[in-house]
Amino acid sequence: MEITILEKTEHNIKFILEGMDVAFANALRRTMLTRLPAMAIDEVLVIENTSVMYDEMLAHRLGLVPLTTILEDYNLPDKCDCEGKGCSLCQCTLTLEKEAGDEEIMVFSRDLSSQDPKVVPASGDIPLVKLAPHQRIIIEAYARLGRGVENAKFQPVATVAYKYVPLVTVDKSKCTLCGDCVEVCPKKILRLNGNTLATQNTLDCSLCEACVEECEAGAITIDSKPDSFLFKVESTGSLPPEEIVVKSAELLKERVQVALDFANSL
Amino acid sequence: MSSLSERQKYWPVIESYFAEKGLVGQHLDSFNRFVREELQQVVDSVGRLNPKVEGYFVDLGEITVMPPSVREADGSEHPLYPNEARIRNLTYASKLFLDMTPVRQEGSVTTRLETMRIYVGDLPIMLRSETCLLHGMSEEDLIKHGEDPNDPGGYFIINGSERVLVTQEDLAPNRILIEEASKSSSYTHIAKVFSTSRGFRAPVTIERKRTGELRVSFPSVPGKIPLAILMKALGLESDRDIAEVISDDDEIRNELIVTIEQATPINVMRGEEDEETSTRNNALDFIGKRVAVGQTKEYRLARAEKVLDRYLLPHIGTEEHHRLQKAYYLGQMVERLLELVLGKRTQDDKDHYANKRLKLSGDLLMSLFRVALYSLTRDIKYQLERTAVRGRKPNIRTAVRADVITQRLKHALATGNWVGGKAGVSQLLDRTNYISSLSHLRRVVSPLSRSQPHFEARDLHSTHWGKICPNETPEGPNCGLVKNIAMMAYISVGTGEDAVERALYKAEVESIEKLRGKRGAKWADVFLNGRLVGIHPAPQVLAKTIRQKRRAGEINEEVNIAYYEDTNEVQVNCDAGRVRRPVIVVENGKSRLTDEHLRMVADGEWTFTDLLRNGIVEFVDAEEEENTLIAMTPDDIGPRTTHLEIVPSTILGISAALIPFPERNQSPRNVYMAGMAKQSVGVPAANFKFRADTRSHFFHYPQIPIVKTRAMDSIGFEERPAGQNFVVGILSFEGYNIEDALIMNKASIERGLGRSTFARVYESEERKYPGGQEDRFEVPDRSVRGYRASESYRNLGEDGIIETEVEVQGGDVLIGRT
Repeated sequence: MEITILEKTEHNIKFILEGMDVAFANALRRTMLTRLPAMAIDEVLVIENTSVMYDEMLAHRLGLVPLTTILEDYNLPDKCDCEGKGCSLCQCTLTLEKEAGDEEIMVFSRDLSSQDPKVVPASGDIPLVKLAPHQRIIIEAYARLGRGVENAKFQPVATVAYKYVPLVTVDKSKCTLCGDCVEVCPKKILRLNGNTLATQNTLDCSLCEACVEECEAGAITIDSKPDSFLFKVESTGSLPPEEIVVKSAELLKERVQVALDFANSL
Repeated sequence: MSSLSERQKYWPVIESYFAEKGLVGQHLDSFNRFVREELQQVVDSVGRLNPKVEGYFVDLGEITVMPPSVREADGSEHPLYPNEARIRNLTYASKLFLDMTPVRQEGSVTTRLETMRIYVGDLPIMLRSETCLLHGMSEEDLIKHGEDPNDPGGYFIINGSERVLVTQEDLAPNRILIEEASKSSSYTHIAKVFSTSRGFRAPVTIERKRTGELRVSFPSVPGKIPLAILMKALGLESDRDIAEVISDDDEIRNELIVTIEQATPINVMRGEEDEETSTRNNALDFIGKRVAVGQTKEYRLARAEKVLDRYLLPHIGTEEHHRLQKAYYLGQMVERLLELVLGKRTQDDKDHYANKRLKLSGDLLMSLFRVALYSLTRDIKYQLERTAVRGRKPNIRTAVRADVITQRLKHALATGNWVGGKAGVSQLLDRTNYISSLSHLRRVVSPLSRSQPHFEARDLHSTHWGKICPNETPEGPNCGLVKNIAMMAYISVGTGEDAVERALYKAEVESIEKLRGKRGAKWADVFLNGRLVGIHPAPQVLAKTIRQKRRAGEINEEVNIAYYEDTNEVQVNCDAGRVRRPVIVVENGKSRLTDEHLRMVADGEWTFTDLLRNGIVEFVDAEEEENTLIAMTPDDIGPRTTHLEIVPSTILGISAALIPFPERNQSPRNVYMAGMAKQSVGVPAANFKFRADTRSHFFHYPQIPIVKTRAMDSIGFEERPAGQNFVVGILSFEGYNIEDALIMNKASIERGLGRSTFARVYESEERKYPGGQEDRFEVPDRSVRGYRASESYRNLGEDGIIETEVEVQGGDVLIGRT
């Protein structure tokens, strides 16, 4: 297995995974989506809510706010000593207190104040509820670790997708340099470079094969590299993207080991 | 094909129309007219109360409608706003006051006593009508009173529930319909007319038997009377007169021989008449023998005359001098019938929308109020007579029991059981979403029974174009019987006949009375609201002048005129209940609506009324539409074009207008969509926080559709949206999608896709029972009979009522009543 990182930003990572089959690539994707834990608000105590929004709806919105997570700091509730009752080792309390003056105001996720400075909303710009003049909310929320299988709010990732690595080849002997393929390509992969048809940014190719259809001479072939995948991982902000990939790979390994151990014990 | 922008450019006209009339304008206008005019007319038709008390009667005067109010249990009274009525289960109604003047008569001296303004009952008030407290309120004020500013109004609040009076479709009254009969019946052809006057419906039929004889039937006379005898009783004594009134066509007169011969037994020779025996008296006696069997001759004659005046064609009049006119009308019916027999005319199309009238809430309330007032007058008379019998002085103030009218109106509106045995007239307003409410207020039901097939009545008719939505109708037994009016359709409220009649005479219509019923075949017959008023030599010119006068505003905008070339007759209509729609006037191949006008409308300088007043846009009914050539787009205008559609897609109703590209769908799919749009969960009303509907759904994340129609903007769908844009993948996935089954993404649902809140009301009350027993709300004590596990009561507050914001399960107690 070989990983080449193509691009990395605060929330996104793009890399090529080589030497693995589709089953593994998909297993990795699904691990990131459903198995890797992240913090999210799971219980809400509404002390006061005079806004137009129902308590249930507000609680649901709070749950969807991504929280920054340090996986080592908290236990998963089912693995915690408190046996899931909720303790400082597996729970973090956030409070929200806001009252509108004479003007209506919007309550944002940044208004949530956390007990643990490391567990805060990943983005402060998420609107929660609008308060009309003199409306007030006082809320105590309890965040905990959870997995994507349980509820989508615990997913540390927004998008995880992979595709085959495209291989675009031009048979120069057949090419008539008509340039039709250049026009038709939606990703601008092909380029006329003097008297040769050149390719650029082939990783962007969406494998739509519009150029193949357009090329009468049959000079272009689009293929994909076997056993290598182009991954794109977008974090919700709860964990850094590279950590998501690494931790997921570890988790996957553990889980495979569990399966193997079980198979061997039979 | 004109460009998209070209086809869309007339939308500002439609928006100005909605801005003025609202989406339920027909109900509001109809109710306003009822309160302003018809209420008083009903009172005037009663006029005077004549109790059987010597020298005492009561004159009824002006009726006044007060602003809606409520009387509390402690006797205090205050103005009632609709939302208070909704929440407190009250009726949103106004007090009615009637001026009553008792009159004493002693010999020839009459003394009018002091006029008293007496409270006679409560009238439920339509929301947003002129009488409603919300009328003319600004948006902020509406919000302050707990209303949704986008709520259309047009419904009533009875005991806290919102009730709609569903528009009823009916066969047009006072119109002659001729039909061929089925082979199995005893007659070959039939002419029918539903003569309706002041809520009294009197069907008159003329049948042609296989022998060729004509017989008439009308209410209160058993059996059928030979036509000639009836004509003679009405005053056309000679056979010649009868023939002249019917037709001057020899072929038609030939058909009359059998009929006229039937009357020979009662004929009296000229010169043999005396006071006792005349042809007319014999004819009257013929009728008298049927209606007053075994009475004296004098009584029989008087009775026959009364029957003719009251029950034969009452829409023409109920006085003695109307008898000749009735004879002319019967002549007209016979002419049509015989023309059908001779193949000179075709059967009338019952499903043609010109032969239909819609009864709106105002008309329905009028018939209800008339009955309620009659029972009040009966009650007053009874009360007055009772006090008189006891020897006390009659006092109307104590004789009027306001409950009579109040209860009559309220009961009919609450249950939907109308006078005349109609059920389901008033329905609970559908608040599923904004569209369903609007659509409910624009519904039209046909009284035809749903058990019989009635295939033709259910079919879409070409005259439904622009009036009735072609797609929005339920599936199943009510298909085609329950309809919805199209976006631009408007229902006439009716204007005075007299002004129109005068305008017709001015336009050189020869009055029928002057002609004494003798109409030549050459001149065209002119009808006003189905009544023959005269003849005209150049009907095309007449139609043109009347139209011009209407466009110039000289006669009411509600008048419509149509000339039928094939039968050479002119139909002028100004009655209520015609479905009409606006179209742009085209003159000399040019649309009268210029770009400059459009700009003024779009900028708000001009309203829709300005367009109407300037003869740029006019309303046509189904009848006048038969004389028009309406271009679909400006490009289609040809030399003979008379009108231009404003926007062709307004043939659809509110619900079907939400479908993008409906013309590309299989038509039943549009029907299903129009039905399902009314079931989607959305935001039913912006005041949902201040409402207490028994069941209501509220959508958490409604969205504006990605693909929308232009009509959505005009209707305001995006302000009160329903539904969400789903991303769907269509693939078989090993057959899990069989029969429209679908697999949903778990994460998307957890993120809030399709989330909604459901609310419902549980009610209970503390009652006192005879015998001292009393209900109490409390947390029940163990000793109470029927005590459940104390678990069930854990969420009850001290007052015995469930606390707010607590989780409850099935079986939990919400109100502890002991």
